[in-house]
Amino acid sequence: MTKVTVAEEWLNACAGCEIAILNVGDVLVDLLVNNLEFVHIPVILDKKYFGQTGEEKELSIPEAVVGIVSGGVRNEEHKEVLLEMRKKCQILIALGTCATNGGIPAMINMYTDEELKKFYYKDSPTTDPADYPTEHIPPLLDQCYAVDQLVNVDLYLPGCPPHPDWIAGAVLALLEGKTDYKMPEKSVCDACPTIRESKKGLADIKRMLASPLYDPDKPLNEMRCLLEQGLLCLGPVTGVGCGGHNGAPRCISARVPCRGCYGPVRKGAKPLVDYMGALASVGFDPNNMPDRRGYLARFAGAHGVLKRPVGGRNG
Amino acid sequence: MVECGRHLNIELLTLAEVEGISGKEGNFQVKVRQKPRVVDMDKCIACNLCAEKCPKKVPDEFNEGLDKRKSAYIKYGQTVPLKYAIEMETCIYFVKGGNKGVKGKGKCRACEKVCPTGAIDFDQDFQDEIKEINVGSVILTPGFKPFDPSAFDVYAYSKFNDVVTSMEYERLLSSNGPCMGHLTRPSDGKEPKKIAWLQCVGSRNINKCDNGYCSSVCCMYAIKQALVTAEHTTGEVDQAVFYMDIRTHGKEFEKYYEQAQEKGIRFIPSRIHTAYPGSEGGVSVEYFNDQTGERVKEDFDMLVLSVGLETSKGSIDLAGKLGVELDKYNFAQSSSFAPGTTNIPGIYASGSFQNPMDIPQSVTEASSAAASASVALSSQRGSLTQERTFPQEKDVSAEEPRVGVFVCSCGINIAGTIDVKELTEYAKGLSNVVFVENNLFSCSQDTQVLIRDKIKEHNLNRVVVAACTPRTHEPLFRETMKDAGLNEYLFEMANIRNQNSWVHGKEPEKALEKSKDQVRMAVAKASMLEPLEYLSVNVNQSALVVGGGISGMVTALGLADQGYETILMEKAHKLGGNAWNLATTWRGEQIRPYLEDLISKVENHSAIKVYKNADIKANKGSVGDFVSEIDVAGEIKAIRYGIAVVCTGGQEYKPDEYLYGQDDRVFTHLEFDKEMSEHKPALEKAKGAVFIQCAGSREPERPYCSRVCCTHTMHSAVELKNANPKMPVYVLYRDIRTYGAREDLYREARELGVVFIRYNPDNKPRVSREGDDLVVVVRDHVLFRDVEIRPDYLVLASAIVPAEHKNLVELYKCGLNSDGFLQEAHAKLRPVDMSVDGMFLAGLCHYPKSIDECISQAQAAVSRASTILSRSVMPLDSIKSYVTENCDGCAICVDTCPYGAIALTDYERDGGMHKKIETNKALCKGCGICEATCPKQGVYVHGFTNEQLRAQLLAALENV
Amino acid sequence: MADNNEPVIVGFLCNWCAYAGADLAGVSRMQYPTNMRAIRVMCSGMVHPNLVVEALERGADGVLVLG
Repeated sequence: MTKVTVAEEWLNACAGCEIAILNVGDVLVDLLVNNLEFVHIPVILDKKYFGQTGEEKELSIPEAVVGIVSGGVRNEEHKEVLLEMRKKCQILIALGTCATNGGIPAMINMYTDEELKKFYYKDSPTTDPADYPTEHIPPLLDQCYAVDQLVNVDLYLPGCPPHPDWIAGAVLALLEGKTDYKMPEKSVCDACPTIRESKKGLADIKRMLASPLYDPDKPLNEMRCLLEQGLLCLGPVTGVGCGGHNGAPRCISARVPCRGCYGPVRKGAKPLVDYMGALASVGFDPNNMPDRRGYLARFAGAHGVLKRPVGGRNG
Repeated sequence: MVECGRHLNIELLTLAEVEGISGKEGNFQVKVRQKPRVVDMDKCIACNLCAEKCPKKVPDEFNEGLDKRKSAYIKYGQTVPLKYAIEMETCIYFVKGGNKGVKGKGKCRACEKVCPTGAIDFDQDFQDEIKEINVGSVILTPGFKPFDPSAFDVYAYSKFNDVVTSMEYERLLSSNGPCMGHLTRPSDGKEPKKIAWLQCVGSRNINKCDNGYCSSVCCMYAIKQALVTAEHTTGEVDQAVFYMDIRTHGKEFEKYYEQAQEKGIRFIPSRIHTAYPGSEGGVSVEYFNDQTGERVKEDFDMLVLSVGLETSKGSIDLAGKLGVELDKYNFAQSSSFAPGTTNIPGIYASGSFQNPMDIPQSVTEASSAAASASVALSSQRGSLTQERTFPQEKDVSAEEPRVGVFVCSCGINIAGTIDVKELTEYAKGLSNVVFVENNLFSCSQDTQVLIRDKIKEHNLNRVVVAACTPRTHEPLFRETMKDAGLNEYLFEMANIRNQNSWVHGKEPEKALEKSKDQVRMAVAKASMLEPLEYLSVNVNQSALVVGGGISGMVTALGLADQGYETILMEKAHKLGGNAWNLATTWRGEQIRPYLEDLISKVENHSAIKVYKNADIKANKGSVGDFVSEIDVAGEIKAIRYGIAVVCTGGQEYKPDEYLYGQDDRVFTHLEFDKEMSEHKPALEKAKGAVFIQCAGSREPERPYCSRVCCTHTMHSAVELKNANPKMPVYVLYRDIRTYGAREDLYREARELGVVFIRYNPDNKPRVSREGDDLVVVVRDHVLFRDVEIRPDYLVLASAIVPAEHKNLVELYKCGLNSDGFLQEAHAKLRPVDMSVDGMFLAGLCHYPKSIDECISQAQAAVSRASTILSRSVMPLDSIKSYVTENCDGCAICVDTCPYGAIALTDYERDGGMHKKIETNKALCKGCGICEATCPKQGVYVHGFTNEQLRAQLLAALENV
Repeated sequence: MADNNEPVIVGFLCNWCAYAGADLAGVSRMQYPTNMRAIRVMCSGMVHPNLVVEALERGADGVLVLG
């Protein structure tokens, strides 16, 4: 039987998503025997874009049935690779929150290129000041994009990193010929077993690093909701899934509040507005939250959610 | 008013007068004379054309004659029924004929020609119609007439244009009054910058045939007018109120008075004796400065006379025709124990015909009268009521939207401004629209038939009517939807009259553009409407009354007399509450016999179950079916009931000043009542008594007025003087608040020689002991020096404090005001309802009040409760919140719901436990705060979902 | 809205107060500019902030929430 071909690329990314693919583990190993073949995955299998010795003139990626892309799109190189992937692959998967929503790197959308370079090459306290490089660096795009802002995406698997359950689920569904695989459109709260009593009195917000009240010997379902404990948990506006198919949310399991790594609950949702509106309804003053744009859109700054501030207002 | 006009079981007879009455309670024959309206009510669509064309201008009585209206008119914009009338007394057609009341002979007939619906036909005979009506009870609510000061030269009302009555001033301020809300003075049209109010004009004065009683409401309205004046003038404005006593004895009123003082309104204790012409127009007045004692002459741009309330000649005649007895002030006579009743069984009085009273009191008295009137009729309840039936509803949920649009011309009301033909054509091009038609009057009866037929003919499943406002006409069209077999909620209106043609009359093109947007928005929303379920709750037709004082017992008895099983719980070991400590009412009626009779009626009533030593422990459920646990003397009982009335009462405050508790000659009112009845002989030898008012009231920690203490003091002082006329009696007070006819007691006390000394809260009376003497020192407001009194009795008019409500508030999620009294749903319009559906309140738990007021409020609670208890099934509005599949139980909305209608629950899905919310349809009022709170579209309100509102929004901005 | 000089205002009007007030303005024939497009809501508290943001994103020059 012919194997289904898969091509994988990483753009503005950290390789965590690729490790998540490997973390699928046994299921993946079994599939690789008969069903799947990675024809292109530069993170794992060495592959040069212009031929192994640079002999080719054109960027080449082999054709594949399934294409997987991790990372957002920040420079001309990312864009070129992405367009090539879209051309060569029948079904394109955006893997990880960088690909689906811009991810952490999209926080750069709050700053100008000049601010970026100045900080990166000159002002950063851990860097020896140096001149800006002029060669071997692909030109930057005007902002960090999510993949679907430039090409059509067939399937979204957000997460930082995505839980292997969903990767395996998507691959198995595709092998069965189903192309409508979708993450659940619910929030982290749906999988969170903590006790909810009352959200009144949220006026006093604790620092994120403060420890909540809980008994380490007792299970999660005996701990009070972290938001109700005054920690600004992003669970209510973050897509569910970090715990896999049936697991509890990962950060909550570690007794720390959700940071929002799965991005918005559904496409087009505005966690910034949604959450500030909701919290204001229970008496929280949004002005008490420094850098609320950066905080609430930490993983979802693409799609125009984060923009350079016009005028002097701190976001 | 609108609700009254629309109610299926209320028949309005306008332009009508009672001629006479015969029969008796349960079966009255009332003879009613109804004057012709000339305009056919069924045809009139209130388009205003007749009034526009009518050439005859007459003074507008609604605006106090300050401007003109026409002979063809409505009294004001909110008139119910909204139908024009032609005044035969002034209409040229009738007057020219010299033939008032019958066919006229004048020539005009302009209105007849212009009326687009043919509602006016002068070719008929117009005669008064005499109707005979058969009713079981009669309630008299003829209201009041403002006092007419024109005969009193001291106020110079007839002399100066810039002296106006408060009613006239109210119209001058009003946005739909003669100045359109921008205050100008009548003499020269200038904006007044200095305005004075003179209180007690026609009240509290027996000097020149005015009225001896206090009109109760004038202090509050003067303060309101003074405050509101600032909003209707530009720049700085100076307001001064000349008063004798400021009487802000109602709930939250004292706060309002304080607010006015903080805003710089001057309150000057002085009764102005004469008004002189001012230097630049305006008016000048002379008064004494109460701080310095000097005579001051001050100019004002305008003088407002705070005129009192009195019974009109017409009402006195009416009472005469009916044989209803009036008191010496021409108010309906009644007993404190049966407020609202008259000397004739079956005839009741309510509102300002009983006493001068404010809106909340009038609303309470009205409900109370309704309760009294219905007790005698309870066996016949429901026998004459009407209900409509409709065909089986068609299920359209699976169909694609097929929208029909009906564009109303409203005569020329809409068509005169908006090109309805173009609008009609435009609507045809909108998506989902399959049928569009223009009607002359979409609301007319024949159009309803037409709409119904078109729905069937074109298989429409959504309807948009572009006409007037849904607030008045949606119910009509919804009925038509049901008549056509469609769910009534598949209907939407585009308000192209009230919010378009009427307000953009000079910009027809822009109005057309706006109307297109409005129709497009309505169609967009209509396309997304879903049929809604008709909701109802089963009503457990029984009641719980919490608190067994007079209010609680009257409530329980009232409910039981209406036939509802009632549980009365009392936390003490016996019924009666504070009434055991009171001797007489302010009218002098003995309380004890009434109380004992009431207790025995309650305890022996077969429909009342009395639990003493009882306390509520737990509660769940909601209107129609509450389930509670109560602790009765240590035993836990489960009870179920459909409604609850809270009558938890209050108690006398124990003062911590004036040597109270340290000297046995210092009493509170209740203690002194007891002392007087038990040691009467001592009174006769006593060498003097002092009353100190506001002990604990109108203080920073208890800022409200306790309402009843002034009257109580008068009563006690009069009693002392009667027992021992030589005994010096002093009352140290801030403002004497003997409202209504209670003023008589104040006058009597003065006549008997009681000395009244006004003290300032910054310099309160000082009480000390010198040897065996009790020494009271107070600064006299007339002498400007300290006065020392050595009385045998010092009586403190101590405050009334509410019962402890913490438990109740937690169990029922009801609200308290900042003083700890239970909060009503609406201070003016729903004074006995609580914000929790199915819960009512009466008595001192609401605010301090006298026994007659407690009884009225209790009867009002009975009436309000009956609106729920009278039916076994209570229909609910379908506009309620519902939980969508997006909800995942983050529970942020739970705390935001003002009605406690949201609860969190666990459920199982795909083998795992999850949470989501549930909404209680009986508690939900459809406000949608949950919808706006939810960060993930997990809860919506039917008919107003985010998607539906968004569809309207996107349609509005489609061309931007 | 062909004329670009005309600001577009979206109004969310509470059925019980602001919407009733707008109706009464009509009964009283008060004249005001045509720029507002009213959306009737059962309480101004039901207006989700997202709707306000979206109105502005889609080109409204102003949003009134009246209640």
